[in-house]
Amino acid sequence: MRIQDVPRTAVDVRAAFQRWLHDHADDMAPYRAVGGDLDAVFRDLRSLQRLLFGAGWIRLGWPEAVGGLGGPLVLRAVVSEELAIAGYPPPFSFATQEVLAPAVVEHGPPQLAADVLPKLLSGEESWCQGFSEPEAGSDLASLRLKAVDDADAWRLTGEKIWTSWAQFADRCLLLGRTGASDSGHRGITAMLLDMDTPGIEVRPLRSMDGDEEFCSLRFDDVRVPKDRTIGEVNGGWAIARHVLACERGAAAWQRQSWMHRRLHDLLQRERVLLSEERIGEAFELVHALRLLSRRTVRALSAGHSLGPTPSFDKLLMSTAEKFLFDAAFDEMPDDILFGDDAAAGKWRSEYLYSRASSIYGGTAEIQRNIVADRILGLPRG
Amino acid sequence: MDTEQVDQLRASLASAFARADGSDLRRELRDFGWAELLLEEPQVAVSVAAELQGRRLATTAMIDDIAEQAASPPAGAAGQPALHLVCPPLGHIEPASHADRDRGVLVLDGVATIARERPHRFIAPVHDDGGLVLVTGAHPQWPAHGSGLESDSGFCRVTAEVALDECDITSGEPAKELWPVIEAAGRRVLAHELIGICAEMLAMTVEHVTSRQQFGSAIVKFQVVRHKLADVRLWLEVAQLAADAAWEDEGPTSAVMAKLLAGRLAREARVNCQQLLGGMGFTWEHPFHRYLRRALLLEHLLGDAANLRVHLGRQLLNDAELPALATLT
Repeated sequence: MRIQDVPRTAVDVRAAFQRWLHDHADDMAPYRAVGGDLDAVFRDLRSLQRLLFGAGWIRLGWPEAVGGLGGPLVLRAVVSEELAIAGYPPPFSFATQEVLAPAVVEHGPPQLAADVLPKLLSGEESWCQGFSEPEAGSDLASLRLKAVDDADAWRLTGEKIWTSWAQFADRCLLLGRTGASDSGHRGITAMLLDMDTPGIEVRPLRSMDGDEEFCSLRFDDVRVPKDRTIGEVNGGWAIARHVLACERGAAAWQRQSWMHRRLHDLLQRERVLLSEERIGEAFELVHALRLLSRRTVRALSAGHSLGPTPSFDKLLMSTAEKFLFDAAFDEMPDDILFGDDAAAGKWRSEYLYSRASSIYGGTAEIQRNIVADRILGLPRG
Repeated sequence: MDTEQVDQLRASLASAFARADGSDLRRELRDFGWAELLLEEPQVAVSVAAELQGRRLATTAMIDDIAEQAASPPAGAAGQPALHLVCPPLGHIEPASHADRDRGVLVLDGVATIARERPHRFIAPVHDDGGLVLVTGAHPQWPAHGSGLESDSGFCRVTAEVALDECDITSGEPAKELWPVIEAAGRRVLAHELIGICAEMLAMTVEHVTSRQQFGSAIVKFQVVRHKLADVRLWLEVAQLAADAAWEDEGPTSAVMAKLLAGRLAREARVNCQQLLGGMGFTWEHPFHRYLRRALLLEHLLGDAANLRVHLGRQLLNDAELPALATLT
């Protein structure tokens, strides 16, 4: 795609991408049923991402300065939606792009963003998110991983946990304590570090769905050059909020596209057992998530500040996702409980993963606190 | 209209509602230029006025006005006797009114606004020989008062028989096209009105838990209280977005969604707010019960949650795909 030929509006991109998917159905066919072991899945999703990047679709909605083709952010949401509608899985780092990359592009050193973004977007490398710690999950502002000032570098010592796919990651967007131990959210700094830096130990944790997605990380005097700092020193809380807003909003848009797809898949079954009422309610909730996350995507695209409203998106995301997969379970208890084929395994794994949706990215309780404090403005104790 | 104009309109409509204070709101609205506003800016007119109506528990003929507008655009209104929309019985989507051809009568069975003026007309979706038709006519014994749990609602139960040869019947394709338009417009009104009612329930509950103390602390400081309020606030946000989105395509499915999500909000607000208002919320003196009554009635008009979900689920199963709603542009 040449820059001058790039479609610029959501309507044009939608039409052009649909046409491209139709014309390239043969090239895309292998990606419809990505499966097998973890390495095979990652290899295929990476190759899908390379294909879409090469054709320009994953470059839409990113600034030209970081390897994109320009245009508003909303174009990314259109591409991810059309891909899901057409029945393809999200490419390798589709979610990471929406969650981590915006903060790096907007607050990172321009040269760093220009170096690393094309690699992330093309699937050449992957990133992970080093936020939570063993005693700083919901209470993120009490994180303790020490980042000691050492001339032109930070030296990191401490732990991170629940870091998704850290064993495959090339870089990590990490929050470290640069202020005094009691400095709370004022003493945190964000940085993008290379995962091959000496002193990082990655230990995968097997989760209940059998995947080794989440990892625990140990840092032993890990040196990070200061030009890897994202945002202001001691200004990491703003970066964390930006990342979490993107995770709760823009990534929720991808999630609702995928939930639409899975509800669609349920309707394709030969004899649907679920009641009409249950199907109607599943659609009601997925639609509600769509409305919330669409509002967030539009606000991000227009450059408006989001405030606390993505907490609504996150609450609805877990509500809709659990309802949908509870329904799927009751539709096919035999498959989910006994089935060993790939399709059954996928439903089972998604059912189990949906249980975590009210925990990761800020628990449902934290989202309710945010709504109560910052949206309802209730006086605090 | 830009945001500022909408705010101005909201302020002046609010004063019209305040001036009338329930007594003769119709005349106030007429003087306000309601008919013209509804014609020129239907979304602004309905979303602002219906929400105000809910907040003030006012009674208007808004649901009849939008039916009138949909049925006979745009000239019909002036000078004609007031038109009453006969909705299906509470909870139902399918009309219960039917044409008894053997006896030559229309058997009306549904819910409509009370008759404040005579003469008046009605318009009703009716089963006629297996098909849906729209019937307009007159019936002299129309109730002039409400009854039961919410006698101030301005709605009444209508059961009556009218000679078919005194009615106008729209049948075939025109009826099949027109009824969903009226139904969708009605659901949008109800969605905005329920939002107004629930926003007031939430506001009075926040006020209550902030001013009342237990265990030496304001009730609002307890996390379980805050979380219940946060849940109501979440569904208020969702209902608001769904009601606004229903105007994007003005289609039947997005109107069903608006009504469904407003109903969900209403149930959340009824249950949580009542619980948090404690004993006060159960007294006659506290205004909560009036909002509860009105919400219960509106939740059941033009389809309750269970029936709307069944309707939606059936549509999905028949099409074996999801309708495209709320397009990202």
